[in-house]
Amino acid sequence: MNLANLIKISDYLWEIPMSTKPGMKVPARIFASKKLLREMDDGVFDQITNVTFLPGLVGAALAMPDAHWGYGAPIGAVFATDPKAGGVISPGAVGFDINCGVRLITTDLTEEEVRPKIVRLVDQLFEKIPTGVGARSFLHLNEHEFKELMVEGAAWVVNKDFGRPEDLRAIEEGGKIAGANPAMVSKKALERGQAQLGTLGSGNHYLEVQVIQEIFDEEEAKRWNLKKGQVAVMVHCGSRGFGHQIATDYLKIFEETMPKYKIRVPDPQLAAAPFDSPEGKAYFGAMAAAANNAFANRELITHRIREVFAEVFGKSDTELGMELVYDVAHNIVKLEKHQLTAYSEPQTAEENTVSRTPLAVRQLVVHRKGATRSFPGQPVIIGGSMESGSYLLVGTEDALKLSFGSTAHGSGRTMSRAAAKRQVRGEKLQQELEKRGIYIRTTSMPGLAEEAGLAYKNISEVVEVVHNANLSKKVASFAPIGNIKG
Amino acid sequence: MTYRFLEDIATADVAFEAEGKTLEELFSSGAQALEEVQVSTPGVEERLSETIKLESTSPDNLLFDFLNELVFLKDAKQLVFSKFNIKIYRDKDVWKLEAAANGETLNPQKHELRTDVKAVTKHKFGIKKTDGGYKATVVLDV
Repeated sequence: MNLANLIKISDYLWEIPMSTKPGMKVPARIFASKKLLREMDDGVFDQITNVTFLPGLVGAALAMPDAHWGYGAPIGAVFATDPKAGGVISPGAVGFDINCGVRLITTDLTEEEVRPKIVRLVDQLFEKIPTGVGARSFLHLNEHEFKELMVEGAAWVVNKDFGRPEDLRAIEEGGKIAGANPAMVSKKALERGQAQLGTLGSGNHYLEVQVIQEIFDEEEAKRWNLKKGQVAVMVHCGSRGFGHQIATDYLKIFEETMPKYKIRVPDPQLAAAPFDSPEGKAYFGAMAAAANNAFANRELITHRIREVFAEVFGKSDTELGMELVYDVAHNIVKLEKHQLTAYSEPQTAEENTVSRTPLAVRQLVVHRKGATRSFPGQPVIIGGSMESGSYLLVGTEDALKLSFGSTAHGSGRTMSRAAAKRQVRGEKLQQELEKRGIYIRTTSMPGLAEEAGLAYKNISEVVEVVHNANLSKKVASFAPIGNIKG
Repeated sequence: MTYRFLEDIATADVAFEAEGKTLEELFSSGAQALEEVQVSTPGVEERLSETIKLESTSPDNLLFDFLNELVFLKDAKQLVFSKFNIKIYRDKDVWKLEAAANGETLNPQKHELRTDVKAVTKHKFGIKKTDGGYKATVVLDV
């Protein structure tokens, strides 16, 4: 990205002023180091400035350090609208994979205990958790049950004894977004969803067995019983075909009905409607159903993980610990109350000194696309490529003021899938990784090549930015030792 | 029936350009490309035939809906296809498609699985007339 159009606010925050592009209603801001900003694609600039055209935006449209271009809004976009000011909701600013998210489960096992059994462990996980193209659910819910699950989310799964009640406290929104409305979900979405409950997807989705490599914050690490050398599991997946269909359905509806509200956006994929419109309410109801499906999905997968660990290590899963640290969404739109300070109102670069006079608390429609909630004290999981490892961080008070309580979600791609496949052969990569101590099972060798580490940004750089910008603070890093992918 | 994958359009996803002398051939090429993203289609036998009937306001939207229907069938019924018999016609202001998609149920033991398609996007989507007929650019979210 060309830095000439940006104003530096701090080493980690840059602004694109409203004067940059006719039609901008608020500024855009990007959290990034100079290096990451230079490497960021121009699509981020185009798309985050397009977001500022939307009615009812509060403060600035934000992009996280792992941002790259997407459909409508870039991946890494965060913005909030005020329904009372005609604020909109936009499916393209959530993403096709509604509530794609990640969860972290710790165990009481050490690397020394797990390494000798890693092959059997990963092979069993690969067998027991349906993965890849067309993977079928191991549950058979009828329509009524599935609609219950759309409303109840992870709680539905726990109530059927496929999870632990205490898990719910460790999931964003308790694993249940209020306002889910099955009547707003199409028959097609239902059919796709019923077939795929409890399946791990493909592409950049994964289930990874990891070892805690480094502890950065001893006090925070103690809260979640984290120790160096401890084995953990991270699961990254979303709402599967259910959410994808809902997104497809509503993108079409919004594109067709948007003219009615006299909303004009440079990119039809950013189609939006007022939150308080029939279409806006319908989408939110369906989106919440998809989000709840994803929470339920990750809870079901966790159940299988616990079963496999119990079988491989010959102890019950509770004896092995296997506690859920947290589950966060990173493609979602939420209704959240935010107390705005002067800092979050539109500012020019000259007005850098802010008075922290609190303004009214407002309920806002907060969109996070490839971005994670980062509320004070909340665990934040930022996943890297399958070669680089991942991080656990903790949310901050500053994030509430700076980014509607949001932070980055991952490392973001830098290389196309096609280019990655030209440079890397899946089988060779699998062998190399095994030599490096990472045992991987996949349903697709080309898919594996596409996910090679060289196709991704450096996650440590992304994490350093959010840490230094005070959006979330580092707690621990995790290195992969086993992985299953679709 | 021709298509080629485009490397420079999509970083996180998959893009292709399909061609055909007629709309039917174009749609067939596009469908073949989509299936090829997900599974090695030479390995997909014609064991069943799924009827697809759609109507839309334009050929572009018809293609969009047709490709999304294939994504739907992959998830809802675990079906993948290797051959398409397509008829496209216009009935006043409505564009209609009737197709027989031949293929079989996905079998991980038999088929070489590739990447799951989540959706067809509208990014650079559109049908263009060419000297030889038609071409379309499609970007898939994977």
